Amino acid sequence: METTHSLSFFLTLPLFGMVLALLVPKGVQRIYSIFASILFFALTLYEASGILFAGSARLAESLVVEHHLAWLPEIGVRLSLRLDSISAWFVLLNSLVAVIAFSAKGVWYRKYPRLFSALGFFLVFALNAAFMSTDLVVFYLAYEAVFIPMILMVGIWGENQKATAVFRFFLMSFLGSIMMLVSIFYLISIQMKSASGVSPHVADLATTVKGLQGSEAMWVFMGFFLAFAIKVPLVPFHSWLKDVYTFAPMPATIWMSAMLSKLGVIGMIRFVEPIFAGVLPQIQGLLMTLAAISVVYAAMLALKSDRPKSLLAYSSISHLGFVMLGVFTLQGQGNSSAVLLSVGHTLTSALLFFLLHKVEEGQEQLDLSSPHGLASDHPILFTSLFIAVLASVSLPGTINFAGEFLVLLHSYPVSVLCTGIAGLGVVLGAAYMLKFYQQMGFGSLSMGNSDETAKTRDLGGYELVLVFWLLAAVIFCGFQTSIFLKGN
Amino acid sequence: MSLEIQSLGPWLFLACGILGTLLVSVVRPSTKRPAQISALLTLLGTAILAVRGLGSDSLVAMSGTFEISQLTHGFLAAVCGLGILFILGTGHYLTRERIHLSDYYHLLLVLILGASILVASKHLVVTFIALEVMSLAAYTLAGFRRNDSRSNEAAIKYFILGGAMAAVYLLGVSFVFGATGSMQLGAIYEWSKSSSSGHDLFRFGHLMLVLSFLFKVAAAPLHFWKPDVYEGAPTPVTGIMASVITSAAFLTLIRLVHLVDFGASDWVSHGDLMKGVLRVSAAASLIVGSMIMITQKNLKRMLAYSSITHSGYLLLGALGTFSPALEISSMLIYLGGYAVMSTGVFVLLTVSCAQADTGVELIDLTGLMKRAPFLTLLWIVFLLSMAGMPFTVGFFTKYFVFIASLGSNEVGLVILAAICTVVGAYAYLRPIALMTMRDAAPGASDWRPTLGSQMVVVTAAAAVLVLGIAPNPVIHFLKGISLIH
Amino acid sequence: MLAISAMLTAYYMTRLYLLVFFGESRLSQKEKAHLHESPWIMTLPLGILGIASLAGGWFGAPVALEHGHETGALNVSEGVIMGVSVLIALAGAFVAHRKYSGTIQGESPRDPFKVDAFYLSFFGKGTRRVSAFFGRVIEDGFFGRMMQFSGAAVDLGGNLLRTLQTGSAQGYLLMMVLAVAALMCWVFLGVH
Repeated sequence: METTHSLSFFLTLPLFGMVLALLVPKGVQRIYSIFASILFFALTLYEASGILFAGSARLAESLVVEHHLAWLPEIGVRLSLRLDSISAWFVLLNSLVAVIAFSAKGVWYRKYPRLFSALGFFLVFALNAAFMSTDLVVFYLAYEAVFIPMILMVGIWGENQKATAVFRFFLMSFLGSIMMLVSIFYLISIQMKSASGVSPHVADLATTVKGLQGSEAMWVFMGFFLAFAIKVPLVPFHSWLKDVYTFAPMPATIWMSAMLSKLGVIGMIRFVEPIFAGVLPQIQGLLMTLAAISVVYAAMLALKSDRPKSLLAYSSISHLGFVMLGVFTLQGQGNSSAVLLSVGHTLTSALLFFLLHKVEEGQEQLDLSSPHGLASDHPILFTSLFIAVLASVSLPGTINFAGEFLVLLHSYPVSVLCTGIAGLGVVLGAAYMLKFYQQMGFGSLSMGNSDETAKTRDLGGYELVLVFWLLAAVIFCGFQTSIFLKGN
Repeated sequence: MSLEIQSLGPWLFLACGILGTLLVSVVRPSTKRPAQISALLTLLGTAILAVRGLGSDSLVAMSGTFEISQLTHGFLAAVCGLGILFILGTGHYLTRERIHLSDYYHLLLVLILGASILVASKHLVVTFIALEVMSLAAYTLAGFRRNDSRSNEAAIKYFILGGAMAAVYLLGVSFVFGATGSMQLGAIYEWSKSSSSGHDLFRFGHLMLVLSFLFKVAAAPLHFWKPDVYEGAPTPVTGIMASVITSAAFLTLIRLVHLVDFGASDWVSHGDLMKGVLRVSAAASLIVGSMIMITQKNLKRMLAYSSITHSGYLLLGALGTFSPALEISSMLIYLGGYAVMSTGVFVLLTVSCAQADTGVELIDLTGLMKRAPFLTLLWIVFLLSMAGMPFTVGFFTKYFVFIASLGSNEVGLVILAAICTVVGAYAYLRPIALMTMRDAAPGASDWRPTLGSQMVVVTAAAAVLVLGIAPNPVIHFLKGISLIH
Repeated sequence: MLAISAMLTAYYMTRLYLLVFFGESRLSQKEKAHLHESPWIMTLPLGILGIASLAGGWFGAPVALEHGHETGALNVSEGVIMGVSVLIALAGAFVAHRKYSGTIQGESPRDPFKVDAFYLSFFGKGTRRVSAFFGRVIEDGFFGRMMQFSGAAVDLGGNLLRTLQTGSAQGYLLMMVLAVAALMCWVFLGVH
C-alpha cells in the first residue's frame, strides 16, 4: 500500500470542471459538459483499471492506494482517501453516470445552463470524496455536501409540484444525517477523554465502540442506521423518494437513483459493518427482514403506478432492497455480491431513466393506464429499452441477474424466509417492468393520445453510441463476473 | 502603575476616541462625515493596539477589577473590526432612512467600549457599569429612527425590560456581597474555596446574576424582548446587537456562572443546580426559537428567533464548560462564527429597499436569482451557514459545541438540539427556495447594493467559507485562550 | 403419462396443420389480398431447421436397431419402444384427421380444469388488490399522513408558542417575573 498523491486528482478535476463550466459560453454548455465528463471517465478508468481488473484478490489488495492529507490537526481530522476494490467501482460509476446525466437534453440547458453544469460537477466532486474517504468526519461532510446541488437542481429545473417534494426529501434525509452526526460526535467526545486522542478512522472508532457499555453501542448504531436507511432507502423510510424522482429533472433523477442511494450502501459497508461488528449480529434478522420487505413492498407499489417515472422510482427501491439484503448478510462475500448488484442497478437505472427521457422528450409524462404504441415508429429506441428492461428484470446474462443470484445465494444460509420473500420480488419485477414496456411500446397509435408523443424521436448519433456501450457493459458484466468476485 | 496604564492603552485610546468624536460632532453638527471618519480612525487605532497587546502576558489591573489578557485583547480587536465593517457597510442605509447623524457614531463607539469593558471586568460593580454603558447606548440606538413607531417601541421595551433585569442583577450583587464580603470575582472564588457559611445567601444571589445575563442573551424564558426589539431597531443596530452584545453578554455569563469552584465538595450540588438552570434555558431556547422561526414572514423577526436558537446552542456550549473546567474554546468558536454570519446577514438586509413600515419580508426575496444572482449567492452562503451545512463556518461551530456538551454527558439535550437543527433547516431553506425556485412576486422590493455594503458582505461571506474549509489556524488560536479566575 | 402426452401432442399438431393449411379460409377479402409466400430470408433458416430436425431423429436409430440393447424397466428392446411411440403418434394424428379434415366442428374446451381462471383471479387480481391496499392504505394513508402530521405538528407548535409573544411590554415583564419565580422555587425547593 503506497501513499501517493494521485488520489486527489479524483477530487480536483471535478472542481476544475465546475469552475470551467461557469466560464464556458451558454450555447456550448451541453457539449462542454459531455466532453469534460467523458474525459474524466476515461481518466478514471485508466487510474482505476489496475484495481478493478486485477486478476486476483491478492493483486487487487496490493494495488490499493491510500492518501492522507492533514486537514484539521486540532481536531484530529485528516483528509484520508482510499481507493480499493469497492470504492474504485463507485468512483468509476460516478464518472460514468455524470456522462449519462449530462447527455440528457432538456430545459436545464436553456435556463441557467452554467449553473446546472457547475452543480453537476460539484456533485461529482462530493460523491467522489464520500466514496473514497475513510475518515468519518470527512465522509459526513461530503455526504451532507451532496444535498446542496441536489436541492438546487430539483428546485430550479424540476416540474411543477416540486416544492413539497424537495422539502420532504431534504428534511427527511437531513434528520437522518443529523442523527448520524450526533452519533459521530458522541464517539468523538469519548475519544477525546481517552489517552489516544481523537481519530475518526474506522479502526480507532471500532475500538471506541468496543469500549461502550451495554446498549449504548446499539443507540449509537441507531444514529448511523437511521441516516443510511433513509438514504438508500429501506422501506419504512422511503416516503420521500417517489415524489422527488417524479418531479425532478431527469439528470437529477439519474443522479439520485444511480449514485445517491449508493452512499447509503457504502456507508454501511465501509463504516457501519467494521465499527459496529459486535452490535450488528444481534439485529441481523430484523435488518434482513426490512430489506426483504423493501423488495416486495416497493414492487407492489410499482405494479399500481401509472406514471413511468414513479414506476421506475419504486423499482429502484425494490432493487436496492436486494442490495441491502446482500449487505446485511454481514460477510465479505455478501458485500461483494451487494457491490456487484449495485453496479448493475446503477447501470440499468441510469439507462432506463435516460431512455425514458428520450421517449418523453420534454413532453408531459406518459400515462401508463393506456397503451401508447410507440415502438413501431422508434425501433432502435424501443429495442434498447427492451434490453434495459430485461436487464432490470434480471434476465440471466445480465449483470443484475448475477448480482441478485449471488445475493440470494449468500442470504439463504442466514435466513431462508427473507430469501424467499426477496425472490418473490423478482417475479413482481417482471410483472411491472413488462407492463411498463408494453404500455409504452405496443397497442396501436390511435389508442393512445398521439399528440403527447409527437415529438419523440428515435435514438441516433451520439446517444445511440452511448446507449450501445452501456448495454454492452450490462451484458458483458453479466457474463464476466470474475472482475467483481476475485478468487485468490 | 505605569505598566498598567500602558496595558490599558487600547481601552484608553477608545475612550479618547469617543471624546474626540463627540467633539467633532459638536463642532461640525451639520455634516456626519467628520464623525464617521473619526469613529473609523478610533476603531482602527484601537484594533491595532489590541492586536499588538495580544502577545503580552496577562495581568489583572486596577486593583483586581480589570483583566488584561489574550481574551480581552482579542475581544476588543474583534469587536472593533465588526464596528468598522458595520460603519463601512451600512452608511447608505442610514442616509436612505435619513438618520445619518453624528450621534450615531458616537453611540456606536460607546457601545463598543461598554462591551469590551464588560468582558474584561472582574468586579461585579464594574460589570454593572459596563453593562449599563453598553445597554444605554443600545437602547438609544434601537430607537434611532425617531419617526418610526416600531423603533420607538423597540427602544422603550428594551429599556424597560433591561432596567428590570438590571435591578435583578443588583439584587444579586447585594446578596453575593452579603454572603462573601467582596464583590471582586477573584476574592469570591477564594471565598468559595474556604468558606463554610452563607452558602444559601450566596446561591440566591448567584442565581440572580446568572438570570440577568440570561435575559441579556435572550435565552428562553427571558427572550420576549428580542423579536420586537430586533424588528423595530434600524437594521445596522440590530446587526450590532446580534454580534457585539451577544458575544459580550455570553462571555460575561460564563464568567458569572463559574464564580465558584464547582469541583469542591461543598459546591457540587450548586454546580448541578446551575447546570439544571442552563439546561432548562437551553432546551426552551432551542424549542421556542426554532419552532417560531418557521412561522415568521418578516426577515428581521425570523433572524431574531434564529438568534434565540443560537443562544440555545451557545448555552449548550456553556454546559460544556463544566468539564474539563472552563474550556471555553467551543463557545469562542461559536461566537466568532456567529458574529461573522450575523454581520454578513444584517448588512445584506440593509441592501433591500423595502418600505420602512413593513420591513424586509420573505416576499422581497422571491425571484432574487433572476434579479440579482450575486446577492442570491451571498444569501445562500449565510443561510446555509446558519443551518450548519458543510463547507461553512456554521458546521464547525456546531461541531465544537455539540462535542463539548457531549463531553459533559448532555446527551438528551444534544439530541433535542439536533432535532431543532432540522426544524431550523426548514426555516433557512424556505428563503433559498423562494430566491431560486420562484419568480418575483408583484410586491417584491428592489435590492440595490452599494460599494460599501457589497465589500462588507463579500468579506463576511468569504470569511464564512474560508473558516468552513480551513479553520485550523483560527481554532488553534482560540484553543489557546482561557478564562482566568 | 408421457405416452398420453405424446398422443395429445400428435393430436393437436395434426389439428393445427389441418386447420391452418386446409379447410375453409376465415380471412376477409382485404386480408386475402395481403397473403404471400414468406421471403427467402425466412424460408431458408426454416428449411435448414426442418432438415436438421429430421436428421436428428435418425441419429440414434441405426445404432439402437443394430445392437438391440435391453432397456430399463420393461425389459423390451429399443426397436419395440420406437415402434410403440410411432404407433401412439399415428393414433393421435388419425383421430385429429377424422375430426378436422373438412369443416371445423366444435372447439375443444378452452379451460377444462379452470386452471387459468384460478390463476388469474388468485395471483393476478390478488396481487393487484394487495398492491392497491399497500398503495392506498399504507403508503398514502399511513406514511403520507405521518408526513403531513409531523409538518402540521411543528407548524401548530410554532403558532401556539407565537401567541405568547403578545407585544405588550407589561405582558413580557409578567412572564419573565413568573419564570424567574418558578426557577427560584425549583432551585430552592428541589435541592438541599
